[in-house]
Amino acid sequence: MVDHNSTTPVVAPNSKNSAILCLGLSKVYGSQTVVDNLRLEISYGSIFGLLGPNGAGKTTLIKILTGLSKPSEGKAFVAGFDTNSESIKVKENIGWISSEVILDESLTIMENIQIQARLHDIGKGWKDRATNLLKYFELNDTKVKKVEKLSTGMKKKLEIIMALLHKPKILFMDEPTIGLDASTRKLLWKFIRKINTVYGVTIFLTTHYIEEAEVLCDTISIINNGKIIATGSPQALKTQAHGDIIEIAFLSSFDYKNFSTICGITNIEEIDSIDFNKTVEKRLTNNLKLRIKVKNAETVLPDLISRITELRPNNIETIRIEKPNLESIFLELTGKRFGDVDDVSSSSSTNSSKN
Amino acid sequence: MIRAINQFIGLYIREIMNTFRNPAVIILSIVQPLLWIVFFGSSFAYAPVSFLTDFFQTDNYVAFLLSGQLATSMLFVGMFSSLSLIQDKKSGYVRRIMTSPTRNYIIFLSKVFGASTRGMLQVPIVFIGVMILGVQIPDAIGLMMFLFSLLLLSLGLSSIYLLLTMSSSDWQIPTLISNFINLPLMFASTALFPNDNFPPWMQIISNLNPVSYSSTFGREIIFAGNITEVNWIYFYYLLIFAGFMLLVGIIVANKTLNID
Repeated sequence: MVDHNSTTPVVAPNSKNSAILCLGLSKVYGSQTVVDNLRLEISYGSIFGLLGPNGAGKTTLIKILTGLSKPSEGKAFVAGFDTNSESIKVKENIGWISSEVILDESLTIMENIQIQARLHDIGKGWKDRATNLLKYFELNDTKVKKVEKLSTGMKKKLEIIMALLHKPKILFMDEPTIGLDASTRKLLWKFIRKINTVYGVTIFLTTHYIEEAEVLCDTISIINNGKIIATGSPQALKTQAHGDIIEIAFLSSFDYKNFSTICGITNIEEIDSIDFNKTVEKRLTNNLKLRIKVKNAETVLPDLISRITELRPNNIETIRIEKPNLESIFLELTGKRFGDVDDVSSSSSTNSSKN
Repeated sequence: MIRAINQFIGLYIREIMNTFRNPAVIILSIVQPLLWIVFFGSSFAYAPVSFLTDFFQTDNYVAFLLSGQLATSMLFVGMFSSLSLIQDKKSGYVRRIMTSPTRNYIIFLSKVFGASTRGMLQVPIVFIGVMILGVQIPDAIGLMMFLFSLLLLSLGLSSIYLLLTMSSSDWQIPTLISNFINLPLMFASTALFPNDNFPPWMQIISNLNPVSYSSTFGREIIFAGNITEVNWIYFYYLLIFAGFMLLVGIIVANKTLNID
């Protein structure tokens, strides 16, 4: 996995060996750069997640990769084919599922599948393939039902069936679980994993749900203002961010300014924030809460508690350990909460410094 | 080529199924031209025979109106092609198609042929209606050529509509275009009246207007009952019109139809 926005690859990438390869990819609409000199390599067989705030360039990137939009600069290869000059070949090798349900509601399940089969020019074998998929996704009993009569979960399953009908190598899923209830979303997660493991399809997933990316993806990239600002496995991303946070609430305030020096604990990285909680109870009016970033809370904590107890006996009210999660990493990298709407053009300078 | 045919058939069948699964569309498509024939056709029911034969070259105005009315219907059918495309753009279905290895011109052709087929559905019912009103139906070849000329007109007009709305996703555009061009094209043609008494500027429009060519060609078949006395120029004009508009549509669709 090559990441970020460098134009010079560390290892010369081979478009034939990668499921997806983007080299210096840019897309400009008017004066707005939506995808900015992006470099990305995704290997076959993986589930890749692309996270980013609204307007970060996720959908534009998918449009380019699915051959629907031409890049302004750079090149993208999907299944070894240039998305610009060989878009039909690209489309032969991909499936696509959008955030909305896009089906012909007045037709039955089987009729929708039949049209999809014709669009991909699948020969007589389409019925067998469709029947197998319908059975696998538990829709075979309803195949003559009109789509308008199906639940949203069933419609999503049908979309997956249609996307898999022509045996694509890569499946693009653009926020596929948005708007679904929690149980349907989890059901789809199960199917997404199966698509990857049973059918061996590489999955390119964009999502608004951190948990979804964390649960499903082998590799995650965070995109902001059209640039990829971090790439790695969910675990690696968490590690590279900042480690653990120990939050200690004290019963009474004290001079915390030289806390780390007084404690003599070298691996306290910084005192992140101080919160004088004035609202909870009168008893807590003057209490102090410290958030201390450490590499590993379990290693540091015993020593830390004993030193604090020596310095301020009976002053600790609570101790809480916060393990890093993608949400906090996303916030740290983009400066935005996940799902926040932002203006692409306004915040490039803020975040580029964090690359 | 086989793939393109397969893709076209898939999308064309979808258009047809959507038409047949919507009874309101079928009923309105059939009733509207019948109402025209009955009400407008009856407006000269008590006119002196000499006036009718002098002015319309027939003693039955319904026989004169028949081909003109069907040609006029094709003007409105064209609007359906662009409405259908806009609906598919809005619902995301065009994007679904475009992420498959389907070239844009296939989408264009399926819309054009789908709308034309929808337009042709009304023809048998209208023919039954006019038979009741005393119009003689031509022989099989005459009938076939009559239908074929209507199909050509419909293909050309649907192509024009799609060309005008290819890059739009606004529902209002086809209706606005329809209001703007349909009535002038209907009245500046030989659909309702012969153009002998038109002012010169209107005659020029009428002589270029494909609706006139379809109306006149069909009328000659209806009057003669066969194709022996028809002027084939009218037919060739329609053939060139449809072919040219389809060709332009194919080129433009490949270049401009997108969801970017």
